[in-house]
Order: sequence, then structure tokens, then C-alpha cells
Amino acid sequence: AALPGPAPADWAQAPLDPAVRAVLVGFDEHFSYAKLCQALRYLLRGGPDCLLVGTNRDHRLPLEGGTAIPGTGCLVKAVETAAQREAFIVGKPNRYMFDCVASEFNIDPARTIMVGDRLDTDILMGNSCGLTTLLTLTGVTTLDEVKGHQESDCPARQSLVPDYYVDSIADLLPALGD
Amino acid sequence: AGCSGGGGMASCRRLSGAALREVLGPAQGLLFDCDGVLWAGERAVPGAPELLERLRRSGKAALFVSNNSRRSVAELERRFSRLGFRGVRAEHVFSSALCSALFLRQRLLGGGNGSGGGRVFVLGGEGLRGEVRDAGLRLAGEGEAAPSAAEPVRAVLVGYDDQFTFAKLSQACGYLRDPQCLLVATDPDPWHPLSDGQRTPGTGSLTAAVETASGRKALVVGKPNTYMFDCIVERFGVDPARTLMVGDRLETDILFGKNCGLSTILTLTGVSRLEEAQAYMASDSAAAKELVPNYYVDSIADLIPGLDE
Repeated sequence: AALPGPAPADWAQAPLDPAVRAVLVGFDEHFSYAKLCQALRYLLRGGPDCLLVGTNRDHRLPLEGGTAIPGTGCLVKAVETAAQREAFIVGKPNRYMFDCVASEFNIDPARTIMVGDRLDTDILMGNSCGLTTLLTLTGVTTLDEVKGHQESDCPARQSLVPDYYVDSIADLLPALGD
Repeated sequence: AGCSGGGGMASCRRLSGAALREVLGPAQGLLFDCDGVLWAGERAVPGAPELLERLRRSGKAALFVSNNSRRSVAELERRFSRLGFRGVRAEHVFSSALCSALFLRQRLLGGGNGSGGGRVFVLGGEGLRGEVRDAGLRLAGEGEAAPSAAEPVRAVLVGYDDQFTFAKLSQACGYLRDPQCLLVATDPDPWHPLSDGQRTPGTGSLTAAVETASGRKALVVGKPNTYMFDCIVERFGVDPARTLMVGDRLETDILFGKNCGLSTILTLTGVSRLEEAQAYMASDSAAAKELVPNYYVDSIADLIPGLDE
């Protein structure tokens, strides 16, 4: 519903939908202070009975040419900060999506490979879920970054290291039958 | 007796009677937060204007330090007058808007690096933008496609911005790709109370978005950081050992007082509850103990009996 008036004092008087039981934060190029206000109102009204869910925490979405736009993670952080509570994050590296796939398709982690280009989402999720992990270099990650984590003493950084890498997923073709 | 803010954990004592006179007597001045201390919304806290008048008559200074980055100090001077407070001039008021402008002036214009200053991209309302302009800085326009080489944007300033949008967030990040571009926030407040008990998101929530997108940490001007106290000392030369900090928010006002070496008084007409202060006092965490005020009152009107007739 449209918010009455131009100012937060007006927005705080807009009627709340009594049926709302969750605030879901996803990628929103129309994110605004007014929406942030409404999210906060629902979370305060519902307390623990109103879920706060974020689709993912990506900081940035890369565009061609090396630029990037803000990612969903920024919007999740804004809501978490205002509400002083932590969101349940569905996306990688959290395991919820793997659990969805695994329950629907009877997957054996020991015989499944996770293929991705991001260490802190794709590879971390794969490693956490007991999958074999394969990094492809056609995306955001360089081999130097991987080496940096590999050489570090920090266990958290070690969990970002993939089992294998390829320059591109096309490199997998020779291993498959005709 | 006295106002020393020195070591050891504060004990959150109710300030009244003889202790009140012992604490207020030697004080040369008091720093007051505004929202939740002097007024709530459009209503002065009952007795607050009289307290300021009595302080004036006792020869004690009253200065004001607010994280609210919405209004210029000129607007705040008019607000004081409208709500019944006499004799408060703009020069007595230190808002995070003013102090952020002073900070940026120092960093962008103050040094001898002769780079001509550059522009500031402000995420905030007209009050904040006005303070930045008054400090001699130039503002970047909204909706620009790319940074101008002619006069680059040298700082992004995040304040209370009720017109914040994804597009502005994206624009800010564009400027912040230049590592020379500063990221500054007026204050860290996550939310502010509305008069009906609801909350409105604060600068802190917007800053979190900008930090996450840019991978940078903001320099935060407002309480509990001490820069605003530096501004006060520069203009009025206050002695922390003879100055009291009065506020309603433990995580900003009381910690600010502690960080600046001031004795602190929590007033219960605003955000923080006595139970929260007591919980911090009972906590094992060293950081929590920094949030415990030396004293508390139900309202600043309770300070009046501590002053001479």
C-alpha cells in the first residue's frame, strides 16, 4: 500500500497488515528509507513471532567492465542494524539451499561436486556440506586469492580453499565420454 | 565529592539530596544531549527550561551535544526557543551535522596538501547539507553518472537520510572506489524513538549498508566517539574534570562521557531504561561496564534542587 505523507512521522502511522509474520530481504533496486521503516515496524510489532529472513549476504554484484552494484547483503545489514537482530540467511554459504536440494534429489555428498566462482559463498558452502569443491576461474576469484587462504594459519580461511580448480567449466569436457 | 570521571566502574547511583549538591556544586558546566533529555518530540520535558535558567543564574555553563544530524544549529536555536528554552544560541549547540562539516573541512580544506578540497556527496537532508556548505565545502549533485575529474568527490557523508535509496547507495559506492575518498558518518545510532513508542531507522543502519557495499569502515563523528568533545573544547575550553555529561542513551551519551573523562548522569525520560544500566553493571564484560552511568535521575528537573536558590 502507498505510504501517506512525505515524512517518517507519516509513515509510522500507516496501517500495518495484521497478517504479516515475516520480513524477507532480497535484492531490491527500489530499496528506500520508507521501506526500511516499514520493515522495522513489522519486526518490532511481531518481536520473535515475526521472522527476519535474508536471501543472501553478497556485498556486491559485479557488472561488466569491473564495476559493481551493491548486493543484497547491504540491505540485510541495514535492516539488521535498525532492528538490532540477526537475519536467517537462506543463501550460500549457509547450508539451507543444499539441504533443500539434498532432500529432494537424494544426493550423496561424497559423490557430489560443487562448482562455483566465489570462495566465500560457493566453495565455503560446498566444503561445509561435505561436497567435493571445484573453483572455476571465469568469475570473481583469482588463483592468488586462493593461495593466500591456503598459506594462512587461520582455519576459517582454510575452509575457503577448494579441492580443485579449472580455468573454465569447459575444461571438464575431456573427462566425459563421447 | 566532585566531578572526576576517573577510573573504576561507575555505580549508577540515584542523584538526589546531599550527593546532588556535592556533584553539582563544583561543576563549571554541563553538556546535555537533546532528544529524550530536554524534549521528547515537540514537548519540552517538564522543568527542563527552568533547569537551564537556574544553571544560567548559578553561573554554570550549559552546552548541547546531539547526534541528531537532521537540523542545522540555526534551526536548533529556533527549536530551543519555540519549546520554551531561553538564552540558547547556535554557538552553544554541537550537532553531529555541524561537527561532521567541521571534520570534513579539516580533512579536505585544512591540510597543506593544496588539492583544492574536492566535493562531498551527502546522504542526508537539507539541514545536514546546509552545515556542509556553511563550512565552505561543495556538494556533489545527485544522479551524476560518473565522478568528475575536474573536481573529484573526496568524501561521502552518511547522515540521517529519510530519502535514502538504492540508487544513492550505488552512487556512494562509485565514489568510494577511489581509496582517497573518505567515508564519514554523522552518528552510529541504529534507530530513534518516535513519540508514540515506535522507532525510526537511524544513520547507523544506512552506514551499515554503505560499509557493506564499499568494503570500507566509516569514520563516525558522533557520540560515543570523542570528536564532538574536541569541537566543544576548541570553542569553549571546558575542563572535563569540572564538567558533567547528561544523556538518555547509554551506548552513546554515557559512553561518550566516559570516553571524554566526564562524570555521567543518565536521565530516564528517553531511550535507556534503568534496568539496562543495571544489567550492564552486573555484566562480566569490560565493554559493558563502560556503559554504566555514575548517576541517574528520573528527569533533569530533578537536578534543580542541587543548585543554589
